[in-house]
Amino acid sequence: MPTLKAALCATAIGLGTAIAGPALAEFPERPVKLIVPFGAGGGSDGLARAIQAGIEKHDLLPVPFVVVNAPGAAGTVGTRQVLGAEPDGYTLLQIHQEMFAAAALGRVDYAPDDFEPVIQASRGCMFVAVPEGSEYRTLDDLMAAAKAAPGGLKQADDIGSATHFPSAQLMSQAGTEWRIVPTGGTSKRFAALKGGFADLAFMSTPWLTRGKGELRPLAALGEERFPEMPDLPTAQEQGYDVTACLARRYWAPKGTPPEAVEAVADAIEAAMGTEEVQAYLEASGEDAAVLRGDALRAAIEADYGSYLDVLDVVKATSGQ
Amino acid sequence: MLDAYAHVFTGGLPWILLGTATGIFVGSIPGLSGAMVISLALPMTYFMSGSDALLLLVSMYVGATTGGLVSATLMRMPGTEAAIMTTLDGYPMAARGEPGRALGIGVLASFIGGMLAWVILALLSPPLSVVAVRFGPYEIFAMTVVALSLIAAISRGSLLAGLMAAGLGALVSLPGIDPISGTLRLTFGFSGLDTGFALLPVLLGTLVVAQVFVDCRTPSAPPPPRGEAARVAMHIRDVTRYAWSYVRASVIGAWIGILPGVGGTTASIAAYSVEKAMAKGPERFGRGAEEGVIASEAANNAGTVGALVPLITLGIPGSVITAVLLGAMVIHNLNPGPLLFAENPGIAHTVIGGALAANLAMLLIMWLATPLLARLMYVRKAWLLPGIVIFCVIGAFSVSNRWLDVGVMLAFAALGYLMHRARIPTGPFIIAYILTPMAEQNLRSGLVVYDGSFLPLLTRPVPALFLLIALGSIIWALAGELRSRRAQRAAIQPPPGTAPGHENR
Repeated sequence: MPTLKAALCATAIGLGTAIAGPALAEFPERPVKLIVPFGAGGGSDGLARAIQAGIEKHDLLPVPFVVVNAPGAAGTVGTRQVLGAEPDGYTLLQIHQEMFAAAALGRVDYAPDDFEPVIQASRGCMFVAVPEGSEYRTLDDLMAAAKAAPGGLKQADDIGSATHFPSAQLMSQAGTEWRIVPTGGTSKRFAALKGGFADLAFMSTPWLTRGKGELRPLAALGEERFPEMPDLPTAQEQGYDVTACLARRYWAPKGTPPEAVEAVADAIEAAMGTEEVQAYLEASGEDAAVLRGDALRAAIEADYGSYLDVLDVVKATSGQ
Repeated sequence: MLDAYAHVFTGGLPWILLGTATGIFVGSIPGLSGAMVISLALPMTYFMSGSDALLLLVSMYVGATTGGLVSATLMRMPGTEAAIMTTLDGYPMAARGEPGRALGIGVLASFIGGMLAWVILALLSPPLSVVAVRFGPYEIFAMTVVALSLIAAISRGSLLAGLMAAGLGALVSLPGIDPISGTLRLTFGFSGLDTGFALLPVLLGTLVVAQVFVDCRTPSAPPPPRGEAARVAMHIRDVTRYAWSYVRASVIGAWIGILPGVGGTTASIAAYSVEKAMAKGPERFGRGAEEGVIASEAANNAGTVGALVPLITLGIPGSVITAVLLGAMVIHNLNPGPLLFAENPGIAHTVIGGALAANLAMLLIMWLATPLLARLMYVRKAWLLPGIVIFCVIGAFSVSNRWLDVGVMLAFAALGYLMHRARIPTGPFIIAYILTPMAEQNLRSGLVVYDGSFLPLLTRPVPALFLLIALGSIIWALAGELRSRRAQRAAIQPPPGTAPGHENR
């Protein structure tokens, strides 16, 4: 009899903790929603879907991980949905420096500080490309031409976008300015270069191979040379202190409990090692570049600071 | 190459049939768009082989472009964006008692447009893509001006109303991020407008939900001619009689599809305007002209297939949907780009073969399924109309995952309904709304490229030619307007001498 009573008591206590427990510590009890503020089929969507597949296939979270596309106004429509979401860890955002561009230009009334950084997952660095038939053979050639005729060169890019800012960094490093022709993403830039409507463009690494015979790369825009093209020197080696790398980062609404941030970051970091995400990185030419906690905060501060530094140049090279 | 074709017609066939059928079904429902279903299908293809994924998505693309003609013809509601122009003549044809023939002509036009464009895709892809990238901002701007000049042409008889509608459409397209300065304009500090009025809510509101309101007020639909609607009447004589219309629309559609960044909707607008200008008796357009249906449907399918040309030869998407297809190629590690034909010809030929198979499947499925779809559209309005509104709400919400777009759709539905009551045509409104951003972006990009000079618009041969065509079409429309006014006046005022009693008083 006493044993039965003890067993019942134990069960009751067990049930009690089981009920009280999750409310305190066990973070995901319902699906976690990831907002991708860009359309299906793009790079942001690609990484998000790969992370989702990795998490679902390997049971890295006990709940479903749902990806929602909310494109519009250069990523700000989806970003606002996370800004206004309940800070409970169930609504997350994945965006690259497009957020910094919108904030620096004052196009939005929020700043990176209004979000809780969760984790940085991957990074893809760009390179400076000119058409194969171009007279410019080195970055110095190109910069000399830019200095000789300020405003003469034409770069295919997107005005006010995440690549306009590093372009402005190159301009201020070279001590001159050139025109930005608004075209769109890398494939449209390629069309503009091939059609002879632009002199240079920042392109993503898949175009190193895709553009063979059509594009001439002049400088890698990472801190290190690209493994797939070790002969291509970086801009820094050539004396221009510029990098242009899109870093895909995850954010939560400000005030999200640290346990929830940690739990999601753990799952995403674990997903980075799965074959699903590795296959995406292979295909997109991006590198895994996991950063968390203070290292992530420092990287964000440096990145956003570098955007604010060249804000005037960006504005000067935007049309009226 | 033969391996690729063999796969398309054997192992890939189930995907083609599934994709085409899904595309047609989704396309025929106003509210659900091809872009939507392809975006939803994309993550599911991760578990398929790269070539099967492309076959599925390409055939969805072909199917969705075609499916829109059913509701456009029978209900005056374009099932997809590309079928907007089909409503202009398809619906009047159906209303005068020829729904089966209107559908038959539309299906045949879709098929012929798709096939002619396919021949171009298969034979001329690499050289054409080189020409297409030489089409710079001013060339594309001048081309949109030609398409815009259609507004004057289709507003004949009520030019002022047409121009008012077009002005309104252009205005509605302006809010959002300025394409050249990157700053916000006309958003009045309301962040919900940062992305402007999105395409789908505006389209669904003015063309579909507004039509639902109109239908609610009309007590009963024109009695469904049972025997007629139950079949798709495809007649050889409808092909032979309008053979040149098919060819013209297909060639125009294919070429516009090939241009980077311009899709099937613009293709059908441009083909319609050319067809109207060339036709005998242009006043029949808008009142059930066979050539109008042919121009719209042949051109939008040709444009769909044409948009695959820059995709497989250069890795440049020509439309929203081909951008998703490009994403699928990247995800499946197929490395799209200028080297695809040289380094991975199997994939290029899979896409080409897939377009062929999807067109054949489309003809078969449309022939079998259109009577069923048509019957669906003749069920009682009390059941049908709420269903359509629900699909439109889903469609508008899904654009950016927010309710605001549903509100935008309802506001434009009210506007569309008011325009209907005031007899202001919605066609010019939508055309101006779709084309203005394209015209603005390209004109202003051109100004950056050419150092602020408008002169290249006249000195470069292609823009100059296009602008001349546009000018001609406007003058022609104005002259026609004047003539018809004079004729009207003559009809109202009896010529002097016939009413002597009046003069004597």
